[in-house]
Parts: sequence; structure tokens; C-alpha cells
Amino acid sequence: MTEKQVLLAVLFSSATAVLAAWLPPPRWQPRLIAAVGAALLLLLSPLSACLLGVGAGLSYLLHRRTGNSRAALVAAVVVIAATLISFMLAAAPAAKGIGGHVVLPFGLAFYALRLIHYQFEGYKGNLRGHSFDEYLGYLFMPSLLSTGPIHRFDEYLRDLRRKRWDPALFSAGCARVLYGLVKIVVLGNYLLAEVLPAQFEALAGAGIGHFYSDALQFWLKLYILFSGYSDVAVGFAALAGFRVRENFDQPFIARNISDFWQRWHRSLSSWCRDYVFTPVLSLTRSQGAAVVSSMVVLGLWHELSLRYVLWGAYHGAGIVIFRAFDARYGASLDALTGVTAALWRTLATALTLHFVLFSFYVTTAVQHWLTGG
Amino acid sequence: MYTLLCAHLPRPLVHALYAVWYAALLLLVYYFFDRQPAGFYYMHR
Repeated sequence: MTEKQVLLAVLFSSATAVLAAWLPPPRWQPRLIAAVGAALLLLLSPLSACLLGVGAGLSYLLHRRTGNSRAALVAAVVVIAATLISFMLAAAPAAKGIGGHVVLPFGLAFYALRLIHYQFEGYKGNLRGHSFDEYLGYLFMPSLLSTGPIHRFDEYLRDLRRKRWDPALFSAGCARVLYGLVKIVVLGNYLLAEVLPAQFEALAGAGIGHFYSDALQFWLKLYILFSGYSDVAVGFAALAGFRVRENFDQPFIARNISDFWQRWHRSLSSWCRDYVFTPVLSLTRSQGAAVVSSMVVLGLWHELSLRYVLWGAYHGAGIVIFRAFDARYGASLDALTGVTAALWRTLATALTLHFVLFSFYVTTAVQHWLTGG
Repeated sequence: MYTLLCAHLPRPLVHALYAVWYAALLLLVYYFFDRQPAGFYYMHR
């Protein structure tokens, strides 16, 4: 299937899930939402449908039978992570465009995180009583299957049970889907892919300008496309009566790297905070180790490679350094007023933006230095 | 934006403006939809 056909299939199934969320009697709604999501997965990747089906059944059984057993949690997390890692390793050559034909099963990277979230919350005793149908509706919701945001089960269950027709939410959902499509189709796939590269080239020239141009184009395209897909997902969820976590909040105006990660792919960074940072912190009692390990996991989730280990460590180190700086100078900088405060804010935003823009250049250079490449 | 517009313009006019805006966006999406997406493997996996 081409990417356009995939997008069309996701849009069609998401729209069908909206009907499934409102037309049938309430107890049928999660079942039908799950059926639409399962049909989408069967169409795009039958292997993925089987994986998610088996994962859903096993995780639900494990939660029901073992409750808050630590051994069961560890076993579940190991099995889910090992499944994701083995598929990522098999799909790595195709993803890098260097041969191989295995691709990552559609949506696996996202639903693996949802399955781990469910196991952790079950272990902590935070899951309200629910049926298997409700759980399936959560895992298989079509608009959230492929690109996130990584929705939380308790929020989904709250919305499912309190669902009332809300014209304001419905109209906001319509607008959101439309804005998302404009970002993907017009801004991302036309302006940034076809029109602007030539303008950027002409403006950039050679040398440092070329680096700037490449980094800016990469991050802009990533932001526009990813936030567009998130808008469509959040919009369709709103049409179905679900308020889903936001993924982005103007990330390029962040004033420090910690702030950046609270604005960029927020559902993933909050997942890492809850299920990597907090456990590592409770084990090691070291903020630095917890931050770096959660950023390394965040990096490895994107790609299993040395480059992404370094990229995660780079961002983790950035956050640790910022926190040390903030502990020492934060209070005096916050006390600044007038022009000095405005200048400091501008400088801090520019520094953060550059730290992010050049993250791949820096980590690729370190990787080459380490491997002698 | 909606509240701001309603404070200065009659509500039916605001609704008409919104309808035109959304229709224009829909047309844009329809016009450009045939282009092949930029191949972002990262986006749906």
C-alpha cells in the first residue's frame, strides 16, 4: 500500500469509529470501536492485528489473575519490550534504506507503550474495574493506533463512561481534523517537501548556512507532519467523545531543554517520566541517572542504534546540566525585570532551539568519533 | 478567536466567515491530497 492509501484507510476507519462511538447502545460501543480498529490493522498488517490481539488478551488476563504482583509486572514488561526490540532489530535495515524487507508491524511502537502503561497502572492498583471489551476499545481505537498520542487508560475509561453529546467538543474535533490535514497535506507534503527546499538552498549558500538550512528543514517538517497526524488523531477522538492528551505545545519557544521535552511529543515524554524516570529514581536515588536513562529509552524507542543512544544521552545530559544551572542561578534570573529579562528570555529560547536543532549533528559527529567512521 | 470575532461582529456573519474559512481549507486539502506523502516511516509504525 502507498502512504496515501494508508492515510486514507486511517481516515476512513477513524470516521467509522466515530459512528461506532455514538450510534449503537453504550455497551456495544467499545466492542465496535475495537472491531473497526481490528479491521484497519487486518487490512494494513495482519501480523500487527495478531500481535495486538494476543497482547490485549494476555495483558488483560495477567491483570485479572495477578493483580499487583511485581513478578508479573516485570515478566509482562520484559515480554512486551523483547517483542518490540526483536521487531525493531529485524526492521532496522529496511528502515535505514539499506536492504531487508521486514517492516515494523503497523502501530507496534505505540501500542507496546500502551500495554506497558496498562500493566504498570494495574500493578499500582490505579485501574478501575473494567471489561475486556472496554480494554479492547482502548487498545484498538483506530485514530490513535498508528501515531499516538499515547492515551492513558483511566482517561479513556472516564470519557467512555461519562460520554455525553457535546456540540462544542464535536465542532472542535472537526476543526482539529481539518487543521491536521492542512498541516500534513498542504504544509508538510507540498510546501515543505516540494516548494521550500529550493528556497532554503538559495538562502543558505554554503558552509554554516547549509547546516542551518538542513537542520531547520528537518525539524520543521518533522514538527508539521507529526503534529498534523496528532491533530487528526486528537480530533477524531474528540468527535468520538474522548479528550485525548495533547502531543505538542509550541515546542520551538521552549526556554530550556527540560521545558522543550514538556512541549514536544508530550505523551511519550510523560510516559518515560512515569515508567522509566520514576522507577529508576526510586531504585538509584539519583536524579541524573533517572533523567539520562529515561532520555536514552526515549531515544532507543525511535531507533535501536548507537546514534539514538547518544542522542538520548545528549538530551539527558542537557537536562541535568540545565537543572544544576537552574538550581544555582534560577532564582536570580527569575528576579530580572524589564529589558534584561526580555533579553535573557530571548537568549534562553535561542540557546534551547540551537541545542535541539543541532542535536543530530553533534551526536552523529560523536558516533563517528567513537566508531572511527 | 470565535469569542473575539463575536464581540465585534454579528454572530451570523461570524458563522458565515467560519464556514468560508473551513470550506477554503477543505478545498486546499482536496486539491493537494493527490500528492504522495513525504514518506515519514517514523509517523506510523
